[in-house]
Amino acid sequence: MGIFWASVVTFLTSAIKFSTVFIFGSTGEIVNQKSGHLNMATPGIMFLGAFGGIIGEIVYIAMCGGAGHFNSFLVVLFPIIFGFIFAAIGGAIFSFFTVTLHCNQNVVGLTLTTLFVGLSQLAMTMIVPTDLEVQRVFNANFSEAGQLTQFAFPNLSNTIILAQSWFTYIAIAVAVIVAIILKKTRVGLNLRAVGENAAAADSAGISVNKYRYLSTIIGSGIVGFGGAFIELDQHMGTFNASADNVDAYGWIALCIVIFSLWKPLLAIAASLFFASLSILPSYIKGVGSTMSYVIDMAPYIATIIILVILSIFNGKKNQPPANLGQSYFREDR
Amino acid sequence: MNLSTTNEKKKLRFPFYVVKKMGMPKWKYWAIRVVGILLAFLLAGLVCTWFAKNKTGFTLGVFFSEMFRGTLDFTDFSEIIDLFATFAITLLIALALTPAFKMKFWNIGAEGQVLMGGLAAAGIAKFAPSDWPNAMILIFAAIGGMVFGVIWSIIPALFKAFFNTNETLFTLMMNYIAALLAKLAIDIWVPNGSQSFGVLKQGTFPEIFDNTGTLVILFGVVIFVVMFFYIKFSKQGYEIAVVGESLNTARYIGINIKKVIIRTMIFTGALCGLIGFFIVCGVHTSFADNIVGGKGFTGVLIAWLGHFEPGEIAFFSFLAAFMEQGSATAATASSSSSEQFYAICTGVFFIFIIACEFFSNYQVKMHLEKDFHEQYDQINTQKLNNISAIQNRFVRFWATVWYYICKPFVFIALLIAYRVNKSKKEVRN
Repeated sequence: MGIFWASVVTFLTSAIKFSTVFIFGSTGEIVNQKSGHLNMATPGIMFLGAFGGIIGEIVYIAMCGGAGHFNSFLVVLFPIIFGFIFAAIGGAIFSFFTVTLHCNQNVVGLTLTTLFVGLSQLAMTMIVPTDLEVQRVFNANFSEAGQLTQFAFPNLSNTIILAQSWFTYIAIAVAVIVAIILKKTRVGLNLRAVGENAAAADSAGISVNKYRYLSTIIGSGIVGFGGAFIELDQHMGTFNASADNVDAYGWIALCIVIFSLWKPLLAIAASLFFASLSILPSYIKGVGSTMSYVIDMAPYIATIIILVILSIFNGKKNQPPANLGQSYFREDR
Repeated sequence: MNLSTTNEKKKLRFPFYVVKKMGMPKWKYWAIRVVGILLAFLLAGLVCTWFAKNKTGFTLGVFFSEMFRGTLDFTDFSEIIDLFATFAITLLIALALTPAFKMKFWNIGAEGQVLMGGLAAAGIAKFAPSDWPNAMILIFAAIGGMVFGVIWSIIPALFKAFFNTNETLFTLMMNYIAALLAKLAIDIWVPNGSQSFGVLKQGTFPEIFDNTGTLVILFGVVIFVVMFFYIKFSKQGYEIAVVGESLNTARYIGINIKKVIIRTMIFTGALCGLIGFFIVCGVHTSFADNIVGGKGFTGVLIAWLGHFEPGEIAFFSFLAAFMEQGSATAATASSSSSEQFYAICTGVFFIFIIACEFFSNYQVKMHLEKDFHEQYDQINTQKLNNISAIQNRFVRFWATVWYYICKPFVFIALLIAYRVNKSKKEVRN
């Protein structure tokens, strides 16, 4: 019985840790979609964030010049900042093509996701890390940074909740902050207006282009956080081109956005649900790879069911933003 | 100094603005595209060679020569057939999507539909009784492929027709479900867990010129001609165009919109399933979950950027097929992954085409000083429009003379008089 509970504890801990990627990805994509951008370049942007994480790690190791001088705060900060910057650049390119050049969002999104995935994969395979031993110390510092286990009593729930790294807490905090901003502030109201009816928002004096640019850049940066985290935490800073597909998490993040009805708080719950569903097969004995494919289909089937239900029961509060996927050009009638 | 009566403060603003163009001569349109394509090739080559710089000797020249050697090498006829088979497949996928897109039904699920068709064809080809003649296996595989393709495309169509569900996201999700179903099927058929289907021993196209893809090219030409006439010259093509332009007009004419949507998607699904059969039994003679290799998504881009015209779609499909095969050869020459080179080349290529689209439709203008003053001079002259233009100039000339010459003289004369008066008063005292 003790072994059973121990495995449940490990399962829950890794489920919460794995759901961090999805929380970041879906929150960033919700910010994008609330402004009217159906940003299908999100998987590519997540890959750019992963690439930025590796660049941040290399920069920090080069600056420190050795394994012994690692500061546990900067170990987390450098990859985050670089991941955010690279992903924000990706988001800026998407909004340049969509807002300034008035191109079809689906076309631009599909093109950019292909380009960013290829570019990041090529760059990550070309970059050879300098010293594997130094890298291992870096990753150990990264995974343990912020773990509050020294404050844990020998109590089940504390071990699960307090054994997560900084990133998990930051992810939940970001989702809650985004939910508050969207619902309760003037800026959030303007953003929702731009996504629902850009022409009406423009006539009310809200600068549609500025809101769309800023929301895409910030949303993509949040998605980049997720990419940096998954690269440095799960893949330990190495990159294996055939096995790691960070962009699959990006497509599931798109599903979670729809499944959570464009609400960040529901997205936290949905991310946890899908993350635990993904890692469930490895915790149940006797489940072959066949079953894992069926479980992998679950996010996509759930999204389709939600889409159909939303369109049948046309409830006003749960619809996608009305201007989702449409560009706005003031001179058009 | 200007005599405008308005008191405008100059606002800080972004100096460029965008204006829609009215129309463009055809040669200019194609010239922009050709220049864009050449620049795209150059940039893609530069990026790929920069990333492969730790492989000695892989310069830009080597990149381009490898690209051409892998595709248009006239000594190896089999490679040219490979190139044209890939061209045929990409063209057919884009053509299959064209009716759906003309109807403004954004079906991006081509990848999944083709994959399901290939799945059915692979299953039938592998498990058909071995005493059947090859042609019969092929016919059954084709029919099976079409049925599965139709199933996969009819589901989003039904929900769109009856409940107005968002078809972009629906078809996107169906893609990934199809990929996982393919993995599941291979797992069931090849139970040793290796996920490798192996080469088909029966149910493949006959080899002509040492390549199984030759018949694919033949079928491709036939289907291209059929689709050309269907889209442009048939009654159903006309109905599709009307439904795409305006739903209300279609309803007014008496076109049954639900029937048109469902019929078009059946057509798209059947064609995509047939393409899957071509890929599995013709080009690759094997099956995997990545057998479509992103051609579904490229087909979506080509169909949209080719403005749903079969001629332009053919042009872009050829370039896309050339780039796919060429980047694979260049990647093996530099020992990189061919997927990554292909992704970069395709991405850069389509970004340049999108930018060319923009430059064909919109004109970038600057906020120029002279435009600004012209506007305000027009406003000022409108204010004096109760007199004629000559009288207006007369008034302005004499006003200038008064303000710049007479008024200063008067002012100085008065000043001198005042000083003289003051000094006279002092002298008297």
